[in-house]
Amino acid sequence: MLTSEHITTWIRKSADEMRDNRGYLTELDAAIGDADHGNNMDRGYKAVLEKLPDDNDVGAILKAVAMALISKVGGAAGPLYGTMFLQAANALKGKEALSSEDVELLLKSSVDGIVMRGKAHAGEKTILDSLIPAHEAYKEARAAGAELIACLDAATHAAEEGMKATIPMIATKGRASYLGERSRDHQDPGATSTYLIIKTLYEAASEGDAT
Amino acid sequence: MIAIVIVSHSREISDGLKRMAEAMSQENVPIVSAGGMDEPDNPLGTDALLIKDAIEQVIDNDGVLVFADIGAAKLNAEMAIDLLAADQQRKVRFCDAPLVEGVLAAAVQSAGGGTMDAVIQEAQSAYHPPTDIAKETGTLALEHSDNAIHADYQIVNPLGLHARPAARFVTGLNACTSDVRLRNLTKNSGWVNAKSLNKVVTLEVVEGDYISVSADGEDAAQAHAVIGALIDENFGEGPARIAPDAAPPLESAPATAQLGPVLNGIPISPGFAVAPAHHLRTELPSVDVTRVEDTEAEVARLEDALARARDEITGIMKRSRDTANEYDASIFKAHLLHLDDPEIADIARARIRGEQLNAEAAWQQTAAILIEDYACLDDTLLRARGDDLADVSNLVLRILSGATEPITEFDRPVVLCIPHLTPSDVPALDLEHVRGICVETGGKTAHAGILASGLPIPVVFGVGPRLREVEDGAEVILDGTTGTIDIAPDAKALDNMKRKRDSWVGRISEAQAIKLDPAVTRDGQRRRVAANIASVDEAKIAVDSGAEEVGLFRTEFLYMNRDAAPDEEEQSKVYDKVVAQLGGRSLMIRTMDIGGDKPVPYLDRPGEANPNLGWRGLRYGLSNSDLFQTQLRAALRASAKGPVRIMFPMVSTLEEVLAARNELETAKESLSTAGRAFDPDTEIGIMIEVPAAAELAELIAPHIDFFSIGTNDLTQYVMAADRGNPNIADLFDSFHPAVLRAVKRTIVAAKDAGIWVGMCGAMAGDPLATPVLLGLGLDEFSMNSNQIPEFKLDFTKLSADACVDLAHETLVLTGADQVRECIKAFLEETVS
Repeated sequence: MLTSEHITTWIRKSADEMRDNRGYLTELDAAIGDADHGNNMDRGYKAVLEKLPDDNDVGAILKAVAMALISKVGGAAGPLYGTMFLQAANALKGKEALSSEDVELLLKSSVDGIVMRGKAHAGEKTILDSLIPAHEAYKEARAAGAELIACLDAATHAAEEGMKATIPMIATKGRASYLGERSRDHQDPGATSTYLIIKTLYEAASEGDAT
Repeated sequence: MIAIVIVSHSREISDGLKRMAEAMSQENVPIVSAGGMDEPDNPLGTDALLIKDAIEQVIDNDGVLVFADIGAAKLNAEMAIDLLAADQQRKVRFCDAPLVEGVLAAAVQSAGGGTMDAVIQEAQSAYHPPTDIAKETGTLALEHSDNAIHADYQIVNPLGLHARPAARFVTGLNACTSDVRLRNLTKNSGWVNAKSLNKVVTLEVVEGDYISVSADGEDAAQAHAVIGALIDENFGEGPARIAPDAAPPLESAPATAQLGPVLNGIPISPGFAVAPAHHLRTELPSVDVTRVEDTEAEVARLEDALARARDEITGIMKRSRDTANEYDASIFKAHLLHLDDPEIADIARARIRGEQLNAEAAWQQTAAILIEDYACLDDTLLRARGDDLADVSNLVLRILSGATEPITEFDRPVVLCIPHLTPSDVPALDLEHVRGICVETGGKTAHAGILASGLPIPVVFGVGPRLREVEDGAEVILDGTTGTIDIAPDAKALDNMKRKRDSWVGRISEAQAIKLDPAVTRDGQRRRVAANIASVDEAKIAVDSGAEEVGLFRTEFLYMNRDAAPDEEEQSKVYDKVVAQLGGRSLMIRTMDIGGDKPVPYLDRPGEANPNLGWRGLRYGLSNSDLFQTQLRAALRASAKGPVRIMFPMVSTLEEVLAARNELETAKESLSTAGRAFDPDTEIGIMIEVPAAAELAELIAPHIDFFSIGTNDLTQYVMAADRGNPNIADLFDSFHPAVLRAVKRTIVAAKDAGIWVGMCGAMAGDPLATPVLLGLGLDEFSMNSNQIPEFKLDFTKLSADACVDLAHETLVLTGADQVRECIKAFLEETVS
């Protein structure tokens, strides 16, 4: 089970990662976008920390995250991640702890949110290229009977591989698509921040001894 | 009413677009700007919550349409709609359309009461490549019932049916239920829906075009009443025409009926002519469209004609170079460029091959489209380039059709009467016999007008179609100074005029001979003679006329006849060009004197009961810092290329002068920061045209480098007399001692402070005023270029010492007439 404390820890860890990787994300974005992804994510998560509610309802926490990201990120990542967390918040409304099945729902609704807002698919050099593999790997691991932490470990590895797989891709969505062929040989910054989000979820769970 | 929410990454864009859309819809449509983010360090971006708030502000309307610019803006707009309550969501739609065009079209359609679907459709069709539209508009047919009411109108407002006038037109008609169709008669377009802004603007109805309107339905008469009212109030654009001396000159004379034996036009070149009228038809042979079998032979015919046209133009070029007018030659270089323009020649060749068209038809049809494009432009100067192209096109057609050249040689003196004068006609004129020229069309800013202003014969443009009524061979009197043609003079008038002309001709040749010499009096006093100009082209004319510097460069033309203010780059290019033309002579850039009698629609200035006493000149510049800074920076940048002075118009107080200095310092700092070169010692000064400034001259002088007296406005304000009011014409007189005293006061203050003082009003070029102004101590005389040669001729005959005494004498007189008599007596005594 993941408690609301785990979730809060996850969000705080994500904020730390965004702060530490601000320059890296911006550098990635500079190659194929408008060089603001690191700054935008860092600013967004800083706002998230200020808005985190003292609430045990996971849905309420995720909704607060969504609203802060929506209003503070500015670039396309704002509405995309905002919708992602909003969909997850709606799916998990009223829950004070998340079962292994609930976490799968969290990942699934996250994918649904991004697809709905971004109208994108896998293989287009976007957030989805690390998010979809993470969801798939989690689902497979859980179906094979793995524990929650092991499932999240599998999801993190899949997200990392998915992130790296964006390097040879040609972007067809978002700002990077303006570059066409020239977007090749660069790792997608959105897929990278998504990997960080999945990774910190695993870290929050394992360090907090989730069962 | 459908409300509009504008989403952009930039708050400035959404705010600016909101203002434009409100102006076009006369503030009837609720519009909310939801651009940018509330992040001081990162204001560029979009914020779904801010957009949601914006939508909620106007949700009580019939519907809300959200527009967004690029990428994430659209995502956030959709996100905002998703965040609304379900019952609210149903009233809101996102509109995928070009932001600026879409919002403007939607605002107008909404103001006219359009439904959500109609507004969306209008917004989404707001942008098409122009060629598609040209095809579309030509194909619609009018399918109205027998009850439809039909009427034709002439559109005379400066903007034509574009921008706000088009919006008012569409909004007005949308209030009617009838089906209203519109076509451009002048351009022979097809019918379009008169309630669609997009369709109306595609007709490219420009000033002077005739339109045809058909309204079918119960309130058809009301639809025509709406159009009539809009035309009567000139679409809210102020007076239809700008007074000729109010900076950029007119393109044609007012379309007032001219009765009686005298015709009026626009004076282009001064002087007098008495000779039989001679009509010259420059109409081209009509072009038949035929199908050719051997298309390659036809292409060869076209090539041959193009080559011969090139030879002919090169020949004319050479002739005008021989007459030492390089400027004219440069115009013909532009002609050659048109001739070699692949846009025309390639298309014409392709049409011969593809459509088996004969060369004449292929050439004419191709050129006509481009000429039409030029004619639709808002910029008067660019529009005039269309005349150049027409000139070239006609030459090629003449050659192709084997028509003879128009007769330009005569065996006896004539006053030429022609429908249209083209630039290539000017140097080809037989000046042995052509004593004067009257032209139905044209204006001072057309190339032909500028070229003709340098001719040593009287020329009048814009006389209108009544010129055709002048009998061929009838003796007429042409006065190029006033722009009048006496078409039925009696014997006495003819006799007087012939004598006047003879002495004028003698004087002119004398003046032409000395025009490039400095102006020095008999007793060795030299004064600077400068030109007033209002366009780039006039700079060269000024130099050729003997101007030592430009004493007044009016910059209002930069702002007029367009939809938005010129940016720094555009202005900078213009100033640089003038500086280059002047070849080291100083250029006086007068900052914009917008206001008063010079309306500029896009600045959206409030109506004023008393515009001449209103928000104009420096007053307007100081309260519109962005506009002002742009001009100051551009003017300063020119100072890096050659000597430049900057002058502020319409100054009343010392505080205004100090504020203007501050603005200039700001402009200098921003140029330094940007690493732009300028001359830090650029001279700055003010116009003396307000009595307050003349009174305060000794207090203002220490803060600036020069004064320049504007006598037209100074006279108007000192005498409190409107120069356009015939009932008080006696009062509006620059020779009145009250005006002369203000001039004297200004000059004395300048001398005391050690600065120089010039004059750029009409008085500076008036030969009767010269001795008094010289006697008062004026340093610089700035006038119209064509006055310079005669001014210098008169000047060399004066004695400066004697003029000092004369000046003192006039100042103690009590009336303008006494002053004139006094000067005339002086001139008779000392000069002749």
